Order: sequence, then structure tokens, then C-alpha cells
Amino acid sequence: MGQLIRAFAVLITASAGLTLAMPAGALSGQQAAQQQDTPSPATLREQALARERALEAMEAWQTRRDPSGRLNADILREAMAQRAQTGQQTPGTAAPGAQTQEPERDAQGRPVAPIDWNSAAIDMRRDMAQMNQDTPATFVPTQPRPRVPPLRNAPPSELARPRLPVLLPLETEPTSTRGDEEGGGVDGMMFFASDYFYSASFHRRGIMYQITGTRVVHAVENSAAVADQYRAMTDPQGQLVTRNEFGQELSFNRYGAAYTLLIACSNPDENAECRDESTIRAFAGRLVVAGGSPEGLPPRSNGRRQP
Amino acid sequence: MSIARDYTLAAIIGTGALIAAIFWPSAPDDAPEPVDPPEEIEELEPEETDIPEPDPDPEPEAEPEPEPEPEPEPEPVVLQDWLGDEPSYTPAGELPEGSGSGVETATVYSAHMRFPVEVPRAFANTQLWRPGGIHASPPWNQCAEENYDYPWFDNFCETRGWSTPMCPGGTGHQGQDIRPPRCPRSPYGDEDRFWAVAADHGVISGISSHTVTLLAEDGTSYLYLHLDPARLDVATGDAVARGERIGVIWNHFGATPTTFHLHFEIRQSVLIGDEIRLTPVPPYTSLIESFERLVRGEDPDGDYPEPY
Repeated sequence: MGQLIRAFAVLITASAGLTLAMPAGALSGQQAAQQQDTPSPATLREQALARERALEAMEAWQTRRDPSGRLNADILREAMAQRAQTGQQTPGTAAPGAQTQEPERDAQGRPVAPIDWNSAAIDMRRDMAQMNQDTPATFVPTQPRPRVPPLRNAPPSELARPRLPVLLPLETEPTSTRGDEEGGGVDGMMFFASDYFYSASFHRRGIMYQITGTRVVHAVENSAAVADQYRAMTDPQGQLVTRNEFGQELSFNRYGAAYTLLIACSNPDENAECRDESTIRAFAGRLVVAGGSPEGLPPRSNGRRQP
Repeated sequence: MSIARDYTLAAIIGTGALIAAIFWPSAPDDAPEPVDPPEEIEELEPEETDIPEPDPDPEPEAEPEPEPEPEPEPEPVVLQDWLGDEPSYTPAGELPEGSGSGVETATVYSAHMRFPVEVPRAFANTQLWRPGGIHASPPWNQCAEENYDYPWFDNFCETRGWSTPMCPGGTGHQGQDIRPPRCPRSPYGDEDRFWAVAADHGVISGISSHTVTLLAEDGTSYLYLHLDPARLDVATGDAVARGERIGVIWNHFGATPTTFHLHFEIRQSVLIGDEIRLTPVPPYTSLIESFERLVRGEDPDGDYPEPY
């Protein structure tokens, strides 16, 4: 009997200890389900290493190329006009970042905007140093550590595929790969990498967060009136925020690439978090340079069609 | 006898002399004749004569070559949609009166896309300024015939309060509304379901309530809104082929249904001024081109079911 009581006491104590050790708010049903499919520590380490390798690639690039990435709009316009005339569908021959008048082109012959890798590398190093320095001092065991949500549909090495700075958010709250309408998914984020663009998405509290970045030039708008409207609507931080039929959108240009953030929900008018501009501005404020490399990665060899 | 002969001879000579005296021309007179003042001479018009001039010898007429039969002009091809009606379209940027100012552009932003409705029959027009819309009078009956008829109307930049810098006024609707081939009528059966399909090869990069985003292989994003959440054919992360089914065109809009339609957006990176921006671009011209390709049977991914 005494042994039984002792065993019961040990069980109770262990349960209480485990409960205290878990992060606050970690006991909801959805999160409990996600615990079963959390990324392994090895995966998280690999993702951190991928970031470091991306930074090394950016810094190495600076010693060999002109890192300023200044955009010459006239050259891009001329390249677009030439492509329209000749129907050029083949990739250009200019090497990435080469200092020629011929702009770099994507696989379909579209010109791509140059990137200011110097600024991207400076920002990335600052963000990483800040995280490493601040985390021990500010870390509260009951609060999750800020992190870029783990990629759940792609290996971390894919962070280096896009030839533009990959901006992703540092999140402290749990994120899910899919929304409730798709069964909630698992802890983390979806990531879709291509050579000159990428997209990532995750869900939280009924809202989908999505970021897309690109260097590709699809079209040229020559209207001065439209250009003026863009300038007038863009705030001093370079951000343009708008409402739409599914929530909010925030777009900006950074390092020479174009980015857009979307938040989408079921009832934008009745969901303050989805409707209010502060939500998407906060999302933009959490972005860090999490990947991207000037020379990208070799083509995938698995035969899968990729975006 | 000789006397008679003499008289005869004399008579002949005398007659001859008389004739000579009468008909012999007078010698010219050296003195100039006085010049009379010129008289006004009435110019006589040549008299018309009925007598035809004799034809010159007519050359022998060559045997006329038979004229080639004129080739019959090809009859203009009348396009017919899925149910046999002839499609027509109003120009890009020409919005119905009072519904806003559109973008009068000839630019086809997505030149090779697959029409995003599976079958070649759909109706691009406004949802708000037609029966069933809040600005219509009367505002009921979204299934009214005029909603499901040609011509199409652009409704990119239709009046909204949302910032849309591509629009002439800086605000407006950011996509194109497209009604399905027929208005679904409750209770809904299989004949009321029409599919939205992938405009290009790509991946489903996100799904949220009434919004599906497709990231295409060229970096273009296509947004599909109001699909039936209970009948989605895709999940986040799925690779999709051009023309593959995505979901049923429906009226899903969170808690409050909208009219039955597909809200379709194209987002691309556009060089504006001296930088590139990701922005919604006008989809109307791309929709017309892709629709015509589908109707003509020229789309490589243009398979669709027989009318049902």
C-alpha cells in the first residue's frame, strides 16, 4: 500500500513539474495537438545555420562585386521593351550582379532588379547580433523565445535559394502552417522558394499571414500620374497600406526588391485584429533578413515542378 | 463645099473663143485690195451629226478569257461559348456609368494564362451595380438575365474606399468579378457547380476562409475569392498544373454570403518610377485573351466537360 502511495505522489509531482515547465498558454487543445508535430531541435539548428551561411554568402559577394545594387530604371525599361519586341523567352547571359548594361534575367528572360546586398548583409548581421545578445538577458522561461517559424514544407537550406534578401518575421506566439478550415496544420510556416522570388505563409487566431518578395520585373508602368499616386500614398517608412476584400495589404521596396504582406481572414469588418492597420504594420516591424543569397542554389534535381 | 467648111470652122472657133472668154481666169491685180474692218465672226459650233463615223477596220476581237470565279469571302467566324452564345466585351476601363473610373489599358499583364473558369462561358461584370447588388434598383435577384449575359464589363477600380494606386482616382476594386456560366439555384445540385481552375502552373501558397492564393512559376500571384470552402480541390502547399481545378465558384464571404461569383486578382511586380512594386494589376484584358483562346480551342490546357 505504501509503495502505491509513493508511486502516486511521484506521478503527481512529475505532472506538476512538467506543467510548470511548459510555456504559458501552451495547453490549448490546438497547441497540444501541434506539440505532437513540433520541429526537432536539429531542424531548428539547421535553420539557424542556413541563416549564417546566407550571411556569409552575402558578405563574400561584396568583396567580388559592386554591392550597391543601384537600379537603372532606363535599362530595365529598355530590356522590357526588347523582350516584348523579340518575344525573348530565354534567360539572359549576364552573370548575377555583373557590372554590365545588360540586366540579369530570370529563366523566362524577364529582367530582374539589382539588389543592394551590402545593406542586406549589414541588416542581417545586426539582427543576428541583436538576437544573440538580447536573448539571454530578456529571456523569460514562461515566454517563448522569438524565432523565425520553422519551415515545415521545405528544408532550411532552401532559405538560400532566392537571389534576393528573404524577409521573414520573428514570432513569439505560436504559428500554424494551415488555417482552421484546413485542419490547423502543424507548428511552423510554409515556405516557397524560387530563384528570383519567394513566398511564405502561416496562420494564427484565424488570420493568415503571408509575405511575398520578388526581383522579377513583370511590367512597366509609364504613367507619371500613377507614379505620383504611389509616392503620395507611401508613408515615410516607404510602406503603402491598403484594405481589401480579405483583410489588409502592406507593400514596400527594400534592398531593390519588392515585397508585399497580406493578412487575410474570414470577416475583416468584424475582426479588429484583421481589420486594423496596426496588425499588418506590426507584422512588417517583425521582419528580419532570414535568408537569400546572391548566387542562389543549383536547380532542384527531384523533378518536382516548383513555383 | 469649101464655103460651108469655112463657116463651120468659124463657128467652132467662135464658140471656143466665147467659152474661153467666159471661163478664163482673170489675171491677179497687184494693187492690194482695201481691207475691210474685221467682222465679228460668230463661231459656229460644230454641228452634231447623227451620222456615226465609220469605224476603222475593227480588229478581230480576241476571245475573252473567262474571268475567274471570285473566291467567296470567308464568313466571319462567330465564336460560340459553352452554351452556344456569342461572347462580346466592352472595352477595358469602360465601367458602367456611376460605378467608377477604370484603367483604359491595352496591356495584357498575364499574356499566357489559362482562363480561370473551367468552361468557356462566364460573365465578367459588376456585382454591386446590377440586380442583386447594393447599388442596383431594385437590389434583388442576382440571377436576373442581364447578369448572365454578354457583353462583359471591366470592374477593376470600381468604386471602393481602398487605396489602389493603379486606379485613376487612387482608390478602387482590386480585381475582376466573374459570374459562373449559370446562376446556381437552391437547392444546389451538381449542375450548379462550376470550377475555378489554375491560371498557371504553380503552388497554392495560402488558403484563408474565402481566399486562395496561387503563386505561379513566373512569380505572378493569382487570387481566387469566394470559392466554396466545402469543395476546395487543393490544400496549402499543393503544386497545381495549369487548368487544374481549384474549387467551386460560390458566394462564400465569411459570415455574410455575397453574390455567386469569382473575384479574381493578378498581382505582379511593376516598375513604377524608379523602383519595382508588387501590386494588383488590371486583369480584364488578360481575361478576354485567355477566354478567346479557350473558346477557339487554342489553349493547350483547355479541356472542359460537355455542357451540363
